Amino acid sequence: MIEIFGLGKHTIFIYTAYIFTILILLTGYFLPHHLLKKKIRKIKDDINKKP
Amino acid sequence: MNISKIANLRFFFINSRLLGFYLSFITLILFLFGIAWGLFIAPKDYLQGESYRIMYVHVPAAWLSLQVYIFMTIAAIISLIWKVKIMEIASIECAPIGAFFTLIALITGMIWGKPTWGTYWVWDARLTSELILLFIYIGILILYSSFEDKRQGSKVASILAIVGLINIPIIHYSVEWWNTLHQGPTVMKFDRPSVHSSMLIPLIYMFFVFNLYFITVLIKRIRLGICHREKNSKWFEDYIND
Repeated sequence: MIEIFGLGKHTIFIYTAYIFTILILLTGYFLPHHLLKKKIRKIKDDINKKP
Repeated sequence: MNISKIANLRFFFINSRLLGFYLSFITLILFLFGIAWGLFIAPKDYLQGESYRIMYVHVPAAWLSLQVYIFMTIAAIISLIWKVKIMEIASIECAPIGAFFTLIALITGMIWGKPTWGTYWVWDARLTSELILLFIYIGILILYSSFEDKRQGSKVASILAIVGLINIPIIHYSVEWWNTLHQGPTVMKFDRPSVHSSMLIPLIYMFFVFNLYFITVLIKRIRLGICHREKNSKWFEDYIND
């Protein structure tokens, strides 16, 4: 199984670069997604609190 | 559908939700295929061996770091001249996306540098100018967030973005103007690309996927920006309550 994914002596460098890229891209995607949800929830709560 | 309608904040916020969802899904599928193509399908390089595969994430990220900056500056100019609100938001929301792409380009470049050059970092013109680009992106974000009045903040940040544009040709031509450890242009040049098509096609494909990702995240960030600015408006409250 591990041999299939082996990419020679630089395997660790290649996978580190790809994993780092994926992590940053996921952070870049989910950060605004999460912040928008949080903000909308807060606005909804504020509206509901209004007398 | 005319442009003024799309530029309308209410219209954009309401109609971009589904578009963002579909784009996210398409980008994910295409990205996973691109990763598999870059890692396992593209042929091995005769000189660098397997380590060149880092190119499929490093190069598109580096191109996008410049492209996002140019887009950000164009949006900044439009917002300053014609006072288009959505362009004001788009311009400032490009900065974190560009910073992420620059960070990817720098870190993956460092990782690629170790097996290729024997070192993670050298202060050559290309690497240093790309690092300055990251600082400009961060500077724009800090400057913008330091203003209470976001409209005023985006105006000042737009001016900084326009001034910082000078760094873009420096990054691009640094490998030609100075003697650098970083290789010269292989794809973005007037002559034919010096990369074989079996390696070039997945690279162009990944560039396309990174562009899709940029559009997807920009839509999400513009929605967030609209939410910050329009939270007290009547239409926004009505939309949230529905």
